[in-house]
Amino acid sequence: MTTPDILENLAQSVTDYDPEGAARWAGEAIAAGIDPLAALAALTDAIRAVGDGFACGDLWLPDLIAAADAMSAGTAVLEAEIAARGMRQQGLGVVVIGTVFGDIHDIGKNMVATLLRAAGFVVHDLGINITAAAFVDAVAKHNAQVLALSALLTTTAPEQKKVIELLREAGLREQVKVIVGGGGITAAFADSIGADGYDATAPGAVKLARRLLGV
Amino acid sequence: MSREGITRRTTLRTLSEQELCALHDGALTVLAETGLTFEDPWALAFLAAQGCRVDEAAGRVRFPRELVEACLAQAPRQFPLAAPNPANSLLLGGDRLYFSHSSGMQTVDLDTLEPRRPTRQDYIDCIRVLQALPHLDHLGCYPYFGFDDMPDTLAIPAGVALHMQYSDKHQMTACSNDAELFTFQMAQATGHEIAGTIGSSPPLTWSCGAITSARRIVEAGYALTTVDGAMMGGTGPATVAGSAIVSTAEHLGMVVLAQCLNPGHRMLIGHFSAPLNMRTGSPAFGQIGASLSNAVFNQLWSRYGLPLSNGSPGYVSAKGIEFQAGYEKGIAAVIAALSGVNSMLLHLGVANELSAHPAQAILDDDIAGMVARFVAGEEMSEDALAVDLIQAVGPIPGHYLSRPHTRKWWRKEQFIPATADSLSYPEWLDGGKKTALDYARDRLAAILAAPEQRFTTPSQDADLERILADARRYYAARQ
Repeated sequence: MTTPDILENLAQSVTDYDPEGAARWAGEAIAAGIDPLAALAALTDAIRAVGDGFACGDLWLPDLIAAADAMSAGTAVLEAEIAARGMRQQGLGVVVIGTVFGDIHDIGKNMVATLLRAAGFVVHDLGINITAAAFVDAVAKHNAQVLALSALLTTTAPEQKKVIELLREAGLREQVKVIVGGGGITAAFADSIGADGYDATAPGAVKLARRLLGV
Repeated sequence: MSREGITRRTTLRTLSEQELCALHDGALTVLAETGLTFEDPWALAFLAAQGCRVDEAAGRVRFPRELVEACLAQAPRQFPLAAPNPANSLLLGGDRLYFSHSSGMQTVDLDTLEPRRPTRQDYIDCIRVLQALPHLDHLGCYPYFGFDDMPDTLAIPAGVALHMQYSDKHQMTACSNDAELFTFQMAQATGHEIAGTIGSSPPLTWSCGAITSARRIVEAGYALTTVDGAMMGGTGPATVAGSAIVSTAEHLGMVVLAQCLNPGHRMLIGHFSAPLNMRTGSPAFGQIGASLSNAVFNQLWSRYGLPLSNGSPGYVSAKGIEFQAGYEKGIAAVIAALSGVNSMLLHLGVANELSAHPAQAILDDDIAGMVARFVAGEEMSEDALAVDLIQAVGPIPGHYLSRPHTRKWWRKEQFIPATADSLSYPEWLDGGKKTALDYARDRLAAILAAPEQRFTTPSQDADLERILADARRYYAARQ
């Protein structure tokens, strides 16, 4: 099978919402000697197409999230290879994202992560129920330019403040823009905890990240 | 292949069998003892020959119970109505539900809410919108009562011609003032099947004009729609039950005439009753009494089994395209749909019969979609119950959003209105705080910006013009 065929199948596994297929074709790409960054770009192109479809109303949340699941499955295989080869991903900027400690809701966070990837950011999704220390470690490890914190519950929203305080204590606050979101978050709350930005929607979060980084 | 419409799985039943029998007996008693006035000598002679007791001097016809029941039994329970586009053909009757539109004398200015006489272009625009709306299954008699300086006598033939030119949906036409002499020629020239509509003159009267039209419709082989119109407390008793008896008796009289003329003739029974506004004397459209009337009438006629239509959901007392119009139409549509109607006039009408606007029709199309979704009911298959999936996903952090089952089912299960705001609050603020009417105006502009579609050939257009010219001469000679 030719390189274009493999990359096309890899991309199609995202638009077909097929995580197993995405992981399999990512493995095929590596086995065929394809540059893992090129394979990752094929996945990004595919998720961008899905994101565009979502933005214009042709696709819906279940499509977006299922495509994101497929992309994540392929990305995991490729990122391991990229790390093993000591390579670096290129993009609009590096984002660390996760749902704060005590909160296990991830639908909104996944939407934001997907649309950020579709926009061309390199996204490190830490998952749910992430401690403040884990966020700070990830910012340092990935040299992140944006830290995106999600909290659905008003009871877990104060965790976002805790992360920002810990960033300051670690001396990392100036190197990273912190954006917050989630069902219980408001612009006023974001201001009060010293976040750099807030938006109520996933597409708005992408615009916010671009504006903060000037990209 | 025809429009599927909606198959009703949920049905409202508020009357007992005993109560339905009481309504039926009441109508048959009125028909047998008081009878109906038929203002047409031919009809009097014809019905006398069928076994009715006729008082020629009074123009009164009394109907034997057995004849009424025999004729009722002859009328088809379900029948097709062809559309120019076969995909838009209808199968009326049974549990199927279709939507159509009401009409208004004038159009309305969306900014001032003041009515004005529609232009020919307004009329065409309105048909183009009705053609584009997915839940508008067939065209009704006319969107507006006329346009420009067209003489009222020509309004029906001129409107029918425009329907044929700008829509490929089935068209039910009004038959009045000899319009059918020309609209039937138009149907023949274009190869379209149309259905003819006549109205009773309540209480208990069929005018000469309606009878003449009915006879022409039946003899031409087109489906006949009979429409009643008792205003409760005015031209019918103030009670829902009493007015239902008046309306039923009027329909049954015409069922006898049509079925004796042509046994098995296709008939659609149209109910168009409302309480009388006891201050203004106008029909109190939008009041819950109109829906009660539909519910009672529909249950009785569902028992007879003939296809049914309801007109009042398409008319409201609200003068503007706003909240009152929404709840008046929404509640009326739900009740009509649940109680057994097969074709419901819903789209277009504003301010009783005074005005209509395609933006209102766009909003109404969302009501139709919501009602249709509800009456279609819920699937209870193994896949819909989703027990295996529920167990596979488990508690949090499990969720269903990325599951193939969700992608397979959610669009089928949900109805998403095109004009209802569903943005997040900040998006709504940023987007200019749009109302439903704003969305409807956007959609209206988009529909009208699309390339104009014509559904007739140049040769058919020439035929329509020739027939209209004949009509113009015919009506000029009568004046």
